[in-house]
Amino acid sequence: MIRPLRTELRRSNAPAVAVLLVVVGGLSAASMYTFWQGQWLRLGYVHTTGMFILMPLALAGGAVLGRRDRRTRAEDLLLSTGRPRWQRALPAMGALGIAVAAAHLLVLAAGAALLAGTYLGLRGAVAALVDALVLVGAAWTGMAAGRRWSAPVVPPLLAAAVLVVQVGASEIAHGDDRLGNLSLMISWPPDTVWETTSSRLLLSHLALGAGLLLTGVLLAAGASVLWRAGAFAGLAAGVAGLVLIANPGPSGIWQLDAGAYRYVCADGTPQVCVTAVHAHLLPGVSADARRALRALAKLPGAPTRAVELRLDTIGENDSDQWFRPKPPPGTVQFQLEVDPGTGRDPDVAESIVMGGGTRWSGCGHGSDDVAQAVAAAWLLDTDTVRLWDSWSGFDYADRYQPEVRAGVQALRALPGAEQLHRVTALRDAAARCEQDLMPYLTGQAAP
Amino acid sequence: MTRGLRLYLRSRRVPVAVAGSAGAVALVVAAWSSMMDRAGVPAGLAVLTTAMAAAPFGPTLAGPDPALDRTAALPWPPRRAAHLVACCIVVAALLLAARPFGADFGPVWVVLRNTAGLIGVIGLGAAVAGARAAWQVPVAWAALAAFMAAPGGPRWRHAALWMVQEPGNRIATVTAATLLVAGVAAYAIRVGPQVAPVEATMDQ
Repeated sequence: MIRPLRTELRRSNAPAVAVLLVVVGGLSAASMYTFWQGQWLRLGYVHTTGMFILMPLALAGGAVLGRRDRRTRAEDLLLSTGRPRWQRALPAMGALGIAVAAAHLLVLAAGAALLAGTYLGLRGAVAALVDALVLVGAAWTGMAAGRRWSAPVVPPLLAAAVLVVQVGASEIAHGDDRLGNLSLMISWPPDTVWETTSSRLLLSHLALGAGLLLTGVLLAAGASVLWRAGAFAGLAAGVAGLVLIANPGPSGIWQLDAGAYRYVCADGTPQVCVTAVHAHLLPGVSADARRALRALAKLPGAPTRAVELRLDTIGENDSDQWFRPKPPPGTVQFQLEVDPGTGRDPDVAESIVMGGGTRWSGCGHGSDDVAQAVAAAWLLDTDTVRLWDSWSGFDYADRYQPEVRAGVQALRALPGAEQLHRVTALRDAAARCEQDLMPYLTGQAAP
Repeated sequence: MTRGLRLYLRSRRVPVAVAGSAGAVALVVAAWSSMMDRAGVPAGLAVLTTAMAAAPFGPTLAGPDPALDRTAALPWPPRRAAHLVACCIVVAALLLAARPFGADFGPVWVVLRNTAGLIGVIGLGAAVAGARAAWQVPVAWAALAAFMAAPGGPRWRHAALWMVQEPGNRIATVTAATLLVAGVAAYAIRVGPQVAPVEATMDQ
């Protein structure tokens, strides 16, 4: 059995299909590198959404191989031997199955190698294993189609038609229409870095893979009406599973990965914790966060612990969601946004001390960024602070730099005790979710 | 139609390819016009439909036995070039003919550009890897373009995703024209890789 398999691995189109899948899968992953740089679960999304292209190519690759049996015109000769049908088909099916699964997993392995040293939880690899099964099933079903219809137009038409059906279904589907599940392309990228493909989505892909595998195996095992009926029933069940099991929309596609979501804390005090997906950034983050905690310690009742802000649900693509979670007592929160250019968050300390540690205190997005920035610069003993965000970089913060500098100068012109009093008053007002904070710095606030 | 042309088209299985291509486009048009209120097909789906209409013509670029073709004392290069250009015209005509039936695959210029470029890639594929494998690169390229169907970005992106660029995009037009010229020239001159006679007889 091993020898014919090795022969098929060398002589069939299996290596060519594997190369095609590696190139296309690699290109689609590379085109989104800045999105998944340093993030294993985001690579999982990029890898699984690429199945939209890979599955039709595996199907067509199978059809090319399936045509071979008919082209050789040796069916009568082979049928005269005393071996069952499936035994003859097995080496070719095995070779193509190994090739497509290995190609898909190779792209994931290459991505994992690029992510060495960062969080690599097993849960993030489950989708790739299920997708490998879908590819094997597609290749085997394609072989059956190629054996049945040996015209040379079948492989290209199959590949293109399956692509068109997927894109067409996602275009035609409105909102929560399950028709959109027909497409393996995931239209909603994960909003946060702790999200992984949901169990329901995996189950729906598993149903498709099982249906395709069953179709391929049954059509290889027999050609009678009964075998064919069973094969088509398997295919229909697989497609029905794909459409019906998964829930459309982000909440159906994504779920929190407990391993990625848990806190990892730096050694030493004060305690600084980040989620496991950012653990590789902990040395730099903890130094910045401790600098910020030391600055905050100038204020009475300052927090003694800093933790990365995390959402307890999947993201809603709403920037305000980050300002809703309330921190535990004695703890200051901070959001980690990594600059793809440098691989680090450029404003950890600055964002922690904004408003005296109240930027992420669960009050929503405060409207008085200037007053918060003046307090931050005063605490850090700098002229100003610049906050960075992944949408606009430093551009948003740079708009109000002159006002911040002027505010800091005016504050420092006051006696030391008054400065501390006003910044503490601002911090307390912000913690009470007051929106207009500048009067606390200028001394115009009602006592 | 001369007898020679009829025999040529039959030997290249052109009727099956035309039927497959037209049938596939008709199915997309029927599904789109019956389920959608608007005629305009989004760029990603339009590009994939173009690839689907063009891909069946890949296998028509070789006959059952290349060695037999070579025995004919005919000037093959212009005929092969004409074959590829005719494929381009048929595919573009199929897509443009869909308009009255409720599916608009884009401005005429974009349909022509995308068809020309994809047919050029098929010609290049046939010359390099053989007619049977010529569909792989254009279908995969179109799928990647549909996957990242956002026009604009740096210049290399205009060239790489030429299929989804705006109608007036010069880089996309030049890329498509270059691919067509290269494909027609490569196919006209080289035909494809040598096929062993024993394999040629199997490749029916």
